[in-house]
Amino acid sequence: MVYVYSRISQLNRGIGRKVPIDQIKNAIIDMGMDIKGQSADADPELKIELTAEKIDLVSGVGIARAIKYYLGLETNVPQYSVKKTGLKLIVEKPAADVRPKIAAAIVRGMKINGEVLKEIIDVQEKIHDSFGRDRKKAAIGIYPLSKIKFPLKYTAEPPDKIMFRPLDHPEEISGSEILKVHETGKKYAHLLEGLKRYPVLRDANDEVLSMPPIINSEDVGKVEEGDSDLFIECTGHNLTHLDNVMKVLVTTLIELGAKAESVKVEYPGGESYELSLDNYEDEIDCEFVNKWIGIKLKPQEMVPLLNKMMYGVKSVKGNKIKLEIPCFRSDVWHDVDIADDVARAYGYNNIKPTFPQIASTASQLEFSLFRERVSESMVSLGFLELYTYMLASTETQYDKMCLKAKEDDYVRLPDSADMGTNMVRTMILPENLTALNINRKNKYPQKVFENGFIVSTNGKDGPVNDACLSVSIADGRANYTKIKGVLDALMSMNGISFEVRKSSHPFLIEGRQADVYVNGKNAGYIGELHPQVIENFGLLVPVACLEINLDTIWAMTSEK
Amino acid sequence: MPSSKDLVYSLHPLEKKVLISAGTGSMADVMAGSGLGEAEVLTGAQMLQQRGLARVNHSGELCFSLSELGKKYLKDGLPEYRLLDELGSGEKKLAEIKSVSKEEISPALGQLRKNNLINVRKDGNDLLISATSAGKSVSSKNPLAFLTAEVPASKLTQEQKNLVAQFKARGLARENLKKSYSLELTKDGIAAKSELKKKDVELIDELTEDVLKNKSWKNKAFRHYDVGISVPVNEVGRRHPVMESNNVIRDVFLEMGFREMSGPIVESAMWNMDVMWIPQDHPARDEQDTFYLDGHSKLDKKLVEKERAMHENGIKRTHTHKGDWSEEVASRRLLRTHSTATSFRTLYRLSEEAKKNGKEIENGKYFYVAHNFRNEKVDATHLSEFFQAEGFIIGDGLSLADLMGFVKEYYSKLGIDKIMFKPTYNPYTEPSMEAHYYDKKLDKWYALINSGIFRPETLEPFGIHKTILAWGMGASRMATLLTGKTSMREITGPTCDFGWLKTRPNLTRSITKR
Repeated sequence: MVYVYSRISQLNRGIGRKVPIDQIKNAIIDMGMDIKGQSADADPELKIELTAEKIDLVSGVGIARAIKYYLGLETNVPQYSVKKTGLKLIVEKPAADVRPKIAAAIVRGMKINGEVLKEIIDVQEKIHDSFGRDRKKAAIGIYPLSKIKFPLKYTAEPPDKIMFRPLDHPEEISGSEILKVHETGKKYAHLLEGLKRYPVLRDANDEVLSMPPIINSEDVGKVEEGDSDLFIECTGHNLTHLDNVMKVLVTTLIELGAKAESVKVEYPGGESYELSLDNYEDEIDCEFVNKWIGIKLKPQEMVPLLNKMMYGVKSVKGNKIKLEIPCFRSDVWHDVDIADDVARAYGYNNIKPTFPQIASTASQLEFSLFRERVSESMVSLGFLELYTYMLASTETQYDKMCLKAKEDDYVRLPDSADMGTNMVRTMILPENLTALNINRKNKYPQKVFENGFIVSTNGKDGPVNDACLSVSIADGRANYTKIKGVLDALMSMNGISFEVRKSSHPFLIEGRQADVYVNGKNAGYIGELHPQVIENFGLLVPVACLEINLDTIWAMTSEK
Repeated sequence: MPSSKDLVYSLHPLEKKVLISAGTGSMADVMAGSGLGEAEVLTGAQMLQQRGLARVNHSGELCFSLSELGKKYLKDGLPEYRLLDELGSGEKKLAEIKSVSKEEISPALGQLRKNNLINVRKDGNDLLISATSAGKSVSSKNPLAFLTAEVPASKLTQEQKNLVAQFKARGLARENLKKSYSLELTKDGIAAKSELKKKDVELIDELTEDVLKNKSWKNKAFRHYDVGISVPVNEVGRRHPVMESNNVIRDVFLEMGFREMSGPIVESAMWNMDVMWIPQDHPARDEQDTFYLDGHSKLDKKLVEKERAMHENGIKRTHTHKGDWSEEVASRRLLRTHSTATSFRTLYRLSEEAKKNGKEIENGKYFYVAHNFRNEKVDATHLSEFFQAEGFIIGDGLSLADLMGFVKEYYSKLGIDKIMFKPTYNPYTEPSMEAHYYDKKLDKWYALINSGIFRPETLEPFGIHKTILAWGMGASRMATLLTGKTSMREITGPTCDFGWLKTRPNLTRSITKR
């Protein structure tokens, strides 16, 4: 989740006038953001939660801009311009194998005081965290323009050849040392892991500006209060994405008082990049929007709604509305996105709900009905249904069951966030034995069942989930006869013929266990739990149990 | 408390006998007076106590008696005494002693020497034993005699106490905590007793087959029971509340004409994410949120190329390029994170079937209550596995207003009238909408449903050009609401208490009136 913290005074400055706090909050919610907190002081700070696609809202400046339009205080689509300078940034070939793309621009005339500096760093970090995917997809560098001599050079060099003083560090060190000793270097070292060359940005004097995406130089890459002109670059792998980030960042700085200028980025092979802040022109069919949302607006009535969402309207011809989409909107993929913006402007709760007129006959899956009949049979036999977890551990599923774990027999969970789980269960029984252990202070007899899923590795194209029924009787007098009686009754109730054949599972007592066969196919087991297993699960009474695979039984008995 | 008159009808025969005989406080007197055994008197007394008619006072005292060995020596004499007897005033070779067995001889000699009762001297290879003068004057009375019957500790002299300690150490005596009871009638008990004395009625205690057969019930009354008695039942067969809640959801779907679908839990990233146009570098696809498994799934080649094109180019606007797309990433195997994966599988299957017949996919409504997984740290409200209720409606020209109408109707079937719609964002729906309901009890708005209209980019690769309204609800969360519990741990997993599972109230459909 992306959160933006902004004070009411800051929002009002962006909006350009004082708007009551409730009006601000309602606008934020109606636009699809959420307010997750509000400080208690005279100038409250709002904690605003963004949805993942709204890159233009990652700053208080961006949110204020959106509110200004949403409240109708401004209707002309935002226009920004970039002055061409002829300044160049040359991308050299080695960069292509490492971090191939870079976009750049200049802003001038800012009055950078403490507050503005904080805002700039904040936007930079928010973009890194969200759309930059923690600097992997986009990493932004900002530099005081006065210290840099054009043309610049972006390339990749052996880490030990890159020598400079990184931010907040006392001395010059090499690129490889930065990743080992510098805090930021250590944090982002994984982004350059295994590379023979690291990205580096140098100026005309061969001075290192930065080592993207890790860190800037302390000498030429540190913005301070009092600076007014900045050089901005953004590195990554996809130029369209970098361009979108630059548009958001530069327009935000323009809102803070800057003027934008371009830097021409020249790639080997002739490709080039130069920032443009021109809006996109497009067209939308009013009837399409009406149908998608379920409203009936005339094109002229839709125009103010589009304006509220920062679209410019150039002309209306019949149902066709010619639009200008602000340059910083990178989330307008399709007409449905514009339709949704109209719905937000209209107000979701102003739309009149209509029940969808689709005629259809309800139906349940035959297998679901079978599973349900099995559960109801177990209830009628006096058993309590349990619901335990599929995410399990080899300790419970194998060690405690006196079974040896073989890698191919089960599905591993290589990156489980929960220390207690490392596999998907292959049997329900061990999980129910854990429940019997936790409930050992409750009354006996304890008769329980679970009709749930396991994952087996026996599928045709890899692991598959199977529905299984596990039944346990824990009681001083639990024995094979009791559990066999349950199996006989259950199978008879469901019209399934079966046979049992002697088995030798290590978790059951030899001579008091069997495998269950349905139409010649092994469908599970039944027996008395081995005392060692009873002990391993910390139980104090005998347990008689069975577990059968309902998918197998269904496949072997249903007519095809 | 029933009146003492009613009591006459409800007392158990045992209680009556004990009550009539009670008075002095002594249990022995009650036993004598009633002709009952100790256990019966105690049962009757405890029943009276429960009714508040009597008090049973417990006391306990240590008592001593002889062990089996002690009893043997009481009869035969202690080994050391037998040895002294045999010695008399003479001297005997050790090898010639007959009165004491081989096992007994060395402890006996030890006892006697310790108390200076014998002399032992060596003569060549023989040991010669004779009694000392003290030994000759030892009384012939057996020192175990005072323990012939069980003796309470309070009746022992100090000397006897010392002896008991010695005997216990030698395994000749044992102790036993003897409980004794006294019975005292309360004020009500005294009243009940006098009522019972005035007028006893012959009551039938139990309606047995014999009573029916010989018609002995005629003109007689039955003993009255305590009809307010609470009787816990242990052997209860019952569904689990999560399954019961899932069935509530199923029923609501079925009443609204939905067809059930189902799909695999072990999925590919392709069906779980790529067909939903979720970019391959989207944070929701990270290991922190998804359980990736070893290995890769086989993908449908035809679909692979269509998805690649859609991911790399989108449908309309090139400046919104989504990013590079890799088949390898799409084929990663995982545990399904949301059942929308199954909705898309179903749509693809139905669409391919229709195409075979030269038709377009038919309109319809589908649902699934499904198991899903998220690789999250587990806490009270987040489990790494959970149920989700998934549904979609496919038709021509459906709209956001239709989605709202459906959600409103669905909520109303769960007892919710006050709802609010809120725009949100999902990568695969546009518009995307949360439906919040107002919880009167908690005075709070809650989102239980996330919904939207599937993006054209998700349907284009399938060749579907109808509108699809889709939605999902946290079914496990719904189970907590219906059971009135706050923690998922209380209603799921091995920690769920059997006692609660047996006695909890049945679920009703209404979230708001729980």
